[in-house]
Amino acid sequence: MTPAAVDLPVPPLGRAEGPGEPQAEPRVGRPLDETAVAGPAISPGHPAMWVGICLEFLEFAVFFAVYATARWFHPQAFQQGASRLWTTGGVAVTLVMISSGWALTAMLRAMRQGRRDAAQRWLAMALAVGLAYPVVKLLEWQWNSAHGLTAQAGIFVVVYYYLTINHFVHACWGLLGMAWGLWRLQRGAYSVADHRGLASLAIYWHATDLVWLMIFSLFYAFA
Amino acid sequence: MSRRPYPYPQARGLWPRLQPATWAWAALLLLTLASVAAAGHAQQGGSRLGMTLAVAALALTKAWLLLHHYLELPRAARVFRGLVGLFAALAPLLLVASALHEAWPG
Repeated sequence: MTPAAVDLPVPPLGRAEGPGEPQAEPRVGRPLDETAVAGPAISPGHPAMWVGICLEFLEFAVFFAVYATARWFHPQAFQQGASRLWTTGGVAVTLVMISSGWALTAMLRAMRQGRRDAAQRWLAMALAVGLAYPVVKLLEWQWNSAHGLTAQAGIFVVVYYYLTINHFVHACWGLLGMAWGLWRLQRGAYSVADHRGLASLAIYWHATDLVWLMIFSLFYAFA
Repeated sequence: MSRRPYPYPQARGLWPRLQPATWAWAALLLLTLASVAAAGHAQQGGSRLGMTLAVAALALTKAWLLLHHYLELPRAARVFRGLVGLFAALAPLLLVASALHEAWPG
């Protein structure tokens, strides 16, 4: 591993480092191995964002329970329903999500190495790729409408819309967050020592990406 | 058994400049296409139960890749590691339960 790839320490949250104050211990987390060449054991991003994504997961866990219950009592509807979906659209959204998330990992790496310009370009790329998500969704809804997949088309379609529209809303929050982060980055916010805002943004997007991968497996993978 | 160091070292070999996240991106894409291929196999007369189990396994693998190479989960606090891991396993488990129920109803 090159030294540039080692993460730099982040000051602890909510505590000013005055001249007389002792150095605080790293906040949370730990290296997986005592011999690891990892950087300091500090969770990426704000702890509040980790709480936030756990709440997001709780929300979608309820939605998945709804899916499982509906599928338990209507197995035929779910076995036949999946083949009615636009698989290409599902694959396209997956490609958009994982590619945008990949650009965010590159953005964070550049930020940790002090390459602000590169970080800015990666974040702009992540946003540009992510903006394809609403476009694909719009096309998918048009395709659905043309193929009779409306809310009156049975329980499978209702559950499908219930989950995918909720995910769409969460992804839009992520896109707005990227635009906000890019705007701030262009105006000199964030530094090598403190870019937790950008790391929190990446955490949120990756969490939304994870939810999509699960939705893809529940719906589109059976089409 | 010792655990692997984290962050995972940069890949070496033919493409030494590629980051682990780049490999993860390629793997996620391939696994997504594999999920669709598995479903296509079932449509052509393959075992639906086998296909569902394959899709669940692929979903779990994709979740692992994303959590380790994108989300940097090993660096998170223990409580978050547990909760996020639990969620990642939920959908594959529900798929397996549904598939077993549909294969042997009652």
